Amino acid sequence: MAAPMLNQPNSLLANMFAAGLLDDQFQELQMLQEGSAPDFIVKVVTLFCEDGERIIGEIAKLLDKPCVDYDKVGGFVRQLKGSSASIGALRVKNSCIQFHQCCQEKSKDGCVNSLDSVRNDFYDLCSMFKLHASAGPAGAGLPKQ
Amino acid sequence: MGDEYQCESDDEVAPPMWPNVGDAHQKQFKMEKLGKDDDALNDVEFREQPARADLHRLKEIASSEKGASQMQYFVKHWEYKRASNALLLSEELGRLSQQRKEIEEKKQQILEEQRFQDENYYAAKRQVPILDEVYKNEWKRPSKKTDDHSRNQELKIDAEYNTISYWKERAMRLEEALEASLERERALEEKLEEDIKNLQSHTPVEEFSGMLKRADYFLHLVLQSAPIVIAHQDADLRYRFIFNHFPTLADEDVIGKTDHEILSGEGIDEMNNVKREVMAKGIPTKREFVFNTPLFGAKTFVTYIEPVFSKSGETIGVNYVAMDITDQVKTREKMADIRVREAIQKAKETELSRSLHITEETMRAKQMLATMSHEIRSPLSGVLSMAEILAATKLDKEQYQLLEVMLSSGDLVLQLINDILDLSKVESGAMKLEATTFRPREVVKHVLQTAAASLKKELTLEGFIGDDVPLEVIGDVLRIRQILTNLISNAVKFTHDGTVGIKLRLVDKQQAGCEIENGQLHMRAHPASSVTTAAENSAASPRNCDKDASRCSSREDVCQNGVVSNENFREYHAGEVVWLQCDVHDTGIGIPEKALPCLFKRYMQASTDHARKYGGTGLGLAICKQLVELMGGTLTVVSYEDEGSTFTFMIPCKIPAKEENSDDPDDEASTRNNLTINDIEGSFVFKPKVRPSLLSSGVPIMNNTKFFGSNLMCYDSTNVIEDHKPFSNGFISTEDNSGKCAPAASQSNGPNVSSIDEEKNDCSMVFELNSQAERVSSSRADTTSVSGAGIQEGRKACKALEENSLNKKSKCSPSSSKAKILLVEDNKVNIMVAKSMLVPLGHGIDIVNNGLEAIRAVQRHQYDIILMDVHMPVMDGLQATKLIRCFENTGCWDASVKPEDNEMIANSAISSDCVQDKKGKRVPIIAMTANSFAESADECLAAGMDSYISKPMNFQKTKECLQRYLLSQ
Repeated sequence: MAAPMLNQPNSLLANMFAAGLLDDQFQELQMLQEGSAPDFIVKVVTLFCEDGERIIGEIAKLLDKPCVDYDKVGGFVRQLKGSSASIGALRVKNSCIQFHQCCQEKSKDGCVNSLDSVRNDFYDLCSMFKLHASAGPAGAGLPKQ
Repeated sequence: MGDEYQCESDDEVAPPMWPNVGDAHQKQFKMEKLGKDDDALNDVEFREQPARADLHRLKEIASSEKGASQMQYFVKHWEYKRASNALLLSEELGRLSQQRKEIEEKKQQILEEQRFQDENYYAAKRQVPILDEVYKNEWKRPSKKTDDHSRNQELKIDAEYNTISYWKERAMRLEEALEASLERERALEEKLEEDIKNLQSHTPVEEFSGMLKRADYFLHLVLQSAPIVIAHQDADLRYRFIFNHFPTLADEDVIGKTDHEILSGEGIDEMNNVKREVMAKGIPTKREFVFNTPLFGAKTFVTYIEPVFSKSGETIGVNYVAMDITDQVKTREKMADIRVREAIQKAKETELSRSLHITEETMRAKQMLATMSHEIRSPLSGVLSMAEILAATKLDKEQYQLLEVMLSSGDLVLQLINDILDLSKVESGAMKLEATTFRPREVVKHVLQTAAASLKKELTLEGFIGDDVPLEVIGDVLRIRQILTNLISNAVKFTHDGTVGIKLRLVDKQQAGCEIENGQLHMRAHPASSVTTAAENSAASPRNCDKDASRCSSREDVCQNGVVSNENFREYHAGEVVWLQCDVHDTGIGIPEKALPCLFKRYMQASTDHARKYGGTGLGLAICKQLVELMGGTLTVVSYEDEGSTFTFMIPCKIPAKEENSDDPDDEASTRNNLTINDIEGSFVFKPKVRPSLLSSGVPIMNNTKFFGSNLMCYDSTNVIEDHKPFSNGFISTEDNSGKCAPAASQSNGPNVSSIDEEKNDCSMVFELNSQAERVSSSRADTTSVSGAGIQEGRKACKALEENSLNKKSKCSPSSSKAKILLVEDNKVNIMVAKSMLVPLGHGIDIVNNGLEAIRAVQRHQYDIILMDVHMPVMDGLQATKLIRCFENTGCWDASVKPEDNEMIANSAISSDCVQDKKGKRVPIIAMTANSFAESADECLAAGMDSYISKPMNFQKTKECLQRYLLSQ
């Protein structure tokens, strides 16, 4: 990821695709945006970031408790998984799938580790989105290559 | 040596040949024998009568080389013994002569003494008792002292020395002593002589026989414990000696006889030949002989045969030792067998691992293909959806054409990839069949409708359904639909004019097999049109249908046929397995006989010519066959070139439980229409052209159709294929249209709905499908394929309408009012995304966040479709669906979700009729599942959902799904 490229919103997105942060579901959103509201993606992504932050906070709180309610954790994880799947946040989604597995196994260590990786992936993505939003016109179209 | 040796030599028996071992062993052996059984006396007998030999022969053998050396040994031994005996004797003689000498000396002394005494005392007697002393000293050494004493006493007894009486006395005593001494001397001499004589009587012959006896005895003792047969045979192979540990014959029966005289059977000849060979060659041999004689059964002996030579080198016979190794041979054979088996096993294992390896490789290749296909599919769908969206924008004519090509090629690729995925899924065993309750009649109808909708040719599509086909069965409806669609599209593809049809009927399993055979034979015998032939042939077919639907035989005919009349009213038991047979027939180009065998193989088409002309990959039939076989059924084909083909598949289906039947919307529909369940049957025809005669009857066809309840749709064939503009096709619900449908409508922009005269054909429907092309541009009416220009024209016509309206999409929608969708989803992001997909489609959306809210919403409003998330808080999608379905079936809500009064008041705006309507109508509920695994889908369908779309939602999928369910209403 060369530094000058970061300024280019489209190449930034292209890089996000290439790095596996996003998948074609995001393209789907881009496609939808073209047909409807121009700020759709920004709205969705903002919602996703806010909602995700909230969910991660909730999960962290739950995991801090001495007796973890894995069903509740699992519910939150599923929510985050659903959101990330919807916006095409591939890496977050995959981390969530692993996290969910850990919840089903009721493994505290696994959950804590998974939370870390989910958090990392999530903030990575959100910061990229923010960078993208600040770098170019909101919700630029498909990366043209 | 001396005394000890002398003592031994005095013993009559000579030392044995095996001095130390022999005695010890003999003793031990005897002890053992005594301990084991009471046969100890046997030994003695052996000794007395070693009768297992021809003793005359002994002499002869003795003259052989070995015999000579043995004799030499004996002679040497004897000579040695004799020499030692002689030595002993001469020593004895020496000692005796010394004694004699001493005696003589003593005598002399005595005589001298006597002479002296005589000189002095004139004594007469000169006998001295010294001999006595000597004698006693020699022979009775222990008593020597006493003797000395007694002699001294004796000498001193008579007192008066030098008296005459003393001398007399003395002389007399000495004389007596002398006499006794002489007597003893004589006795000794006698004994000596006797000894000498005795020595002479030990001749070599006696010695030999003694030794031989001992040897024989010893041998027998040893042999007693040896499980072998030892024998000697002479040059004529007559037994001269035998020792058999397990005698089956008495020795007398053996000695002097040949093998042939004793035994008969397998192996004897061979052994004799070998013996002769050994005699001839003079070389010992070891061999195994397998005997099978009546005397001792099947036995294997290992035999060592040794020739016996005379001194002159001639062979005079053979010795042999045989040992029974039957058990060992058996073991050996078993071992060999095991080894062979092991080798085979190993070879098999190698083969297996090799094939396993190959299979793995294949699987990997398939996996790779599947993965690749999947990977290709995702971007391709992106390309296609974008192209579709592009098609919705303003384009000029040329761009449209290009886009059309792009879309159709894209669709082809997508179809191909889907086929590959399906096939690899089936082949890798990953394909899971779902068991859902479905209505076979509906499926057939749907498939035909779909085919009719995309029909680009002037073909008649017809469907016949047997009266006995159950209303509902359990099976994988998606796959069955796939098979039917595939077969129908094949049929349509290869048929240029005439008819394509589906015939569904029930068959007995027993009947099923032979019926096909009959059908085939019949076909061969009377190469008539496949349609009529198939109808005639099917014994189970309830009615004979001609191409012309108006001539469909009526119910009376069916009853006259008698074959199925009972079946019509047959009670199906829950769980019972019925066999559905489905024929897909056409009047197309047919399949050449030589192409039939590879028809169902992958990537195979009847010929390369066909591939060029008709396109396609040749995967369709392979998938169909695999799917049918996966369901436990069979797929067969009968075909005649230029006459048509009939693909027949039979699948087993279960009858669902009764109660599921009872809450069937059809029941309600039928009660509404005052029809009994027996009237649900049918044949239906989709005709390519309008027939005025039929059009004139304008009787609403709704009354006797069950397939769609009251929501029968009429399709206009050409429009459906243009699915990028799905709502621009003139579908009009017959509810709105049935009354208005006039013959003139065929020329108008509306669809033409007509029905066969009800009196004649109470159960038939005819969909007269008027080609849209006909009304848009008459020039397109005759074309059999879509031309870009045609589409363009159609599009333009529609576009003109669009441009006139603000909401172009809703204007183009079939019911001229947008569909109302209820979106049930708790995830905000998902809601946003879903909304963004649904809004462009022009539908009204209500959004609720959980199942309970969804129910409340349903209680307040009527929706055309519900998109339901599965996992939600408060109440999940499955539960909500169950409750909604329950309401639809019963008309009242479950107590837990009963609408509150104020809601009812709000609802009262809707008339009671509407409520009635609402009750009977089944809202399509589409699940939105995060994972599209089979089990999850099962749950959804089991809960009463109609279908599912997997998340993340995809514009294309969502659109297709909505289209499907909104259209069918």
